[in-house]
Amino acid sequence: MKHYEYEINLFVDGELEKEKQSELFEHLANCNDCQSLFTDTLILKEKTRLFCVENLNQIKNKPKPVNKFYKIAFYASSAAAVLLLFLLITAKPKETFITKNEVRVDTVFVEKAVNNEIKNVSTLGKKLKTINSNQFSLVNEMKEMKSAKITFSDLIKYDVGS
Amino acid sequence: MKEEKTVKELFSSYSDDILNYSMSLLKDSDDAKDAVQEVFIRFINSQSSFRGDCSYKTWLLVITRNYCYKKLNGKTNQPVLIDENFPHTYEPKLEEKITLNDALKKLKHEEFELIYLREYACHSYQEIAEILGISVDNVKVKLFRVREQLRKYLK
Ligand SMILES: [Zn+2]
Repeated sequence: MKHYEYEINLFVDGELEKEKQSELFEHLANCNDCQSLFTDTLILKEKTRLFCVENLNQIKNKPKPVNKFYKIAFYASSAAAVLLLFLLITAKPKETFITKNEVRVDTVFVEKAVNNEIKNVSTLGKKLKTINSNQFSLVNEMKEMKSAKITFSDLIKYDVGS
Repeated sequence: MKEEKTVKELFSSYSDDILNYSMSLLKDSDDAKDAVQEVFIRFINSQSSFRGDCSYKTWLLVITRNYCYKKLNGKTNQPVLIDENFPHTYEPKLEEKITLNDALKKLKHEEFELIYLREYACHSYQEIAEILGISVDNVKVKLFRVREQLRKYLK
């Protein structure tokens, strides 16, 4: 039996063509291996995303010697630098908060797609509901990750211009 | 003055993306802040050569990538390589359990970059392809392979 590792990977990224999605779901309904692969891939996505968030927060938080010295000074003579200086002063980027609870585009997408499939295909739906209760420990795992309290260090504020 | 306004808009829209991308590559917040400035200086100086083949955002990120890799390796265009030895190098021994986070930390810049661009920055495959200068099919395969390796460390 042909497995759908590759298609699962594309699907969770929202990159699998519509026509191929029903084929994937039909297979998923009948293949335990691909069901767990699907679950694992979603968990992997969420965990790697959280890693990226934490990784960036760590880099931002790393204590630095107080040295507010801007390289811009070296460019003081070029026209580009003057323009850039102007930008830094006037166009302060909006404050950016990175939190663990950001809306997850992919997760929302996948949830929607799964729900749609369940609605659309009734026989398949029954099978998928079984997957839902047995296989999708994912949902709980994700809920756990999402409800983790945001600590102060999760909430990093930075400001390019200051 | 019109040009100036465009750059200003681009700056307020994309400086965060450039900062985060630089930080994910350079692993240092000061270096990343420098990168934002360098990228915009390069952008301003080369604006006339932008032909609109891709979005401004993508173009800015291509400049960012070139700058960061040059800083890291002294090379401008780094091919995206997936280490064939990865599974052997990092195969967990029975006694020492390697966590997913450990495995992620051991990824090469080029591998982590893919994860970052997809999972954190939420770029489409098309955008990733443009930023990395490879084909969409190539993105599909490389992302699939990195995840295949990482999946081993889930449990
Ligand atoms: Zn299968």
